[in-house]
Amino acid sequence: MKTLIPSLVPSTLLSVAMFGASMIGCAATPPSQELVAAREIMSQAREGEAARRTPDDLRKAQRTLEQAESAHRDDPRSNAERDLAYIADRQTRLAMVRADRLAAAEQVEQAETAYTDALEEQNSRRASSLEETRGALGQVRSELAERGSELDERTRQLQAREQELMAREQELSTEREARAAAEARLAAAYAQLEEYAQIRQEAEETIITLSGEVLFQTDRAELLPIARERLTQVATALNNQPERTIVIEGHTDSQGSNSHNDRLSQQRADSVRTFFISQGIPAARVTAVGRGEAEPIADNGSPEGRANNRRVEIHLSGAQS
Amino acid sequence: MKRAAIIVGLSLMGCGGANPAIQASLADTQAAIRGAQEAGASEAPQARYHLELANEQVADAQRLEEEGQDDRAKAVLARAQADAELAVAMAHEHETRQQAEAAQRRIQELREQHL
Repeated sequence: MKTLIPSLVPSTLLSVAMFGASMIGCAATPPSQELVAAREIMSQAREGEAARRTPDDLRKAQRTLEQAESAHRDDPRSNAERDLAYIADRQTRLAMVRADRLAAAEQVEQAETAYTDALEEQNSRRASSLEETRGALGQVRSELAERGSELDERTRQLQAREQELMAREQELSTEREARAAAEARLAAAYAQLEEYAQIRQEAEETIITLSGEVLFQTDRAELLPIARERLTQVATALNNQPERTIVIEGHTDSQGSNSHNDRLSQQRADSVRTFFISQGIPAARVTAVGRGEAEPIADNGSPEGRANNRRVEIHLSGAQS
Repeated sequence: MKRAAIIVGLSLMGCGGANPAIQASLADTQAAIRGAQEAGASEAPQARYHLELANEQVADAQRLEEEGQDDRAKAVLARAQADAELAVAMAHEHETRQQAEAAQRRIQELREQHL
């Protein structure tokens, strides 16, 4: 409310100082504080945006300032000078502020355009990156499909191998079972054989010794009926060991001539071989040999010893089962 | 109206009564001050300063008129009018500048968001 008064105080002081200066220098009375300020702001405005953006407003201020200058010439430091200068100052500032506002509006517009542009650019970038991602995804998908089919193929191969393996295992176990059964049959056959035959296990062969009395009549080479029965059991045992070769040896005691004994032992061995072949043993596996009295196992001086020497030995050689 | 008639009568009689030209000028200035307030002059520091100047000068003018200094009152009202108009322009400029800053921030945010 008292602004005019305090604003006048420094102006008064200033004018006093200026007045003093003017007394020494030129005769002209110095302008009022208002006029000085108005001139100052006007020169700023002319250099600034207002000259370009708000020339009409600035011209209006310029006219008011000219009126103030004219009032100053007419009556220096008069109220008319001060009032007009004050208004010129405000009008000049108005032109400047309006120019500033236009500049700000322009900035708003530019920022909005830039915003829209940036948004569009982003959208297009996003679209292209989306496109890229889609492409990559498609590639990954096709790779996956390829790998999937590879995997299927491998799975099929694996399943086939597994089936092969299982079949082999099945075969193996069947074989094992067959072998076990064969062994069981063999053991049973040997057990039966042991009732009337001697079974001896040597390093490389198994020797089954049958007494001559069990198989033949004295001085004859034809098998007795009981002998056939027993040899059937032997044949069963031999059939259970298909890998082994069979040598049938006929032996006699020392009574009678050597040649007779050789012939008799050969004939007896042959009879046994023939019987075995009739029981299904392949002929190639079986050999018959007459040893005569050459390989006694007991003393030919006693009847028991001679009885022991009259015998048929079945030698099984080759792979042990 | 009655009052105006009385004032006119008084002024005709030579007393320092209300001058219709001053009343019209006062109304114009007060309208300009309202315009500045509506434009949000009290939100912007510079605009607020000129709005205050305008108000103070209106009060000064009223006092001068009462004292019979009609010419001074008229001149001070003209000053107040210039300040009020400047306050309006400053309020508008302030608002637009804030919009510009907001727009600038918005675009800055957009750029930072998607670097």
